[in-house]
Amino acid sequence: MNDAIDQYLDRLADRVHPAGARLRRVLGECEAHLRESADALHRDGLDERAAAQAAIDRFGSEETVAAPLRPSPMRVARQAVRTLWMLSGIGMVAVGASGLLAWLLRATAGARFVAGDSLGSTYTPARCADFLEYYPGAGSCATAAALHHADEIVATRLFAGVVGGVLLACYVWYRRGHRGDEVALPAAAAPMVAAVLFGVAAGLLLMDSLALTAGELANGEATAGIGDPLSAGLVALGAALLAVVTTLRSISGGAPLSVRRIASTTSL
Amino acid sequence: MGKGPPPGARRARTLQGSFPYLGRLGNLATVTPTDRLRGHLEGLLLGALAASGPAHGYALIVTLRRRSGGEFDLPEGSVYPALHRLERAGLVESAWVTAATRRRRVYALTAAGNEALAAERLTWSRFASAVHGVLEPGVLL
Repeated sequence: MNDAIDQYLDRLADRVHPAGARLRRVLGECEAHLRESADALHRDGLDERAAAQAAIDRFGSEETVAAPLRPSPMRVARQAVRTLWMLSGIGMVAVGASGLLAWLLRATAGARFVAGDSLGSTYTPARCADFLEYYPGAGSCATAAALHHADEIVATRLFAGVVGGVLLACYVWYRRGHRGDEVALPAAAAPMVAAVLFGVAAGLLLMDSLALTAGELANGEATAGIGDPLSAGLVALGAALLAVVTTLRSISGGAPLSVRRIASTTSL
Repeated sequence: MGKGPPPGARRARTLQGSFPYLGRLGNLATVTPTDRLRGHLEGLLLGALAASGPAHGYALIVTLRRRSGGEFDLPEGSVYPALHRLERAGLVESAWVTAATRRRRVYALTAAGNEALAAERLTWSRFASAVHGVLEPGVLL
């Protein structure tokens, strides 16, 4: 039966943020209180409906309970910083993964595919001499430059990945020591931000790859330098898809805010 | 001349910050016991827990009402945010307890809560003596 107390708890559930374990606890406590109070009033002579309404009136408005439970701006800001920390780590690890992919492409498709210059690009003799000094077996300035740039791309990205790994390890270590911290942001917030950022990055990088391909095909040339944005774009696309799945799972796990659903998990 | 509110306005705001009910009600005679509870609810909940032993929210409200002679008739739902604050501060601990088909969250004082209560009693006793000394000079509390 969906009585006045159930309806009150439904309205309260809409006001308690964020949802999750805290909401279950608040609703469980409030329902136990309201039913106890209504029973006492019923024993005192009120009929069931009037007793339930009187118990609600004594309990106070939904806002009386929900407003003080909302996280303070400082708490929200602290969790936002922590989330940014985590996302920065994940972003840099993704850059590291794109470095691995670029290395694979360099090994299979060649350095020119990863970092070759477009037709018409030239270097000064001094710069060419630099490239050829490091890659004496390259045979030409353009090949030596492509090898140099491909190695630079791989090394820089792998370094970013290592930094990201350290950031994430520090984050995990910090979170282990702060497990009881109050949750101030919805569970879906971080994966949603990640999905948007990775999605935008994937879109831009893959479009860049396509534009490079189209431009070079128009020049009648084989694809040069496409592996650079392509490797990053593919990793960003994978990360965006993972983030979308995580977001959807967070949303379906934390909502809808239905008392019936919560009551079934708290066995009140 | 410097900009900003006149000194009187600033003083009024400070007063209102210390006694929120003053600015809203304007008249001390209309201040209810529940208004006076502001800022003291946590201490009273610690006291009610010390008096009753481990208890759930509804039992604490009943204890507060009974021990105050019905004076503290606050919205019952307001005890839960206060209890959660006390728990976050480590002054109370809680657990779900099922009895007679009803599941309740039962709160108990921690050692830190007992210490906080002792400190609150001392502070309140000094404050009450001081107020009494001003309002009714010559009459010992």
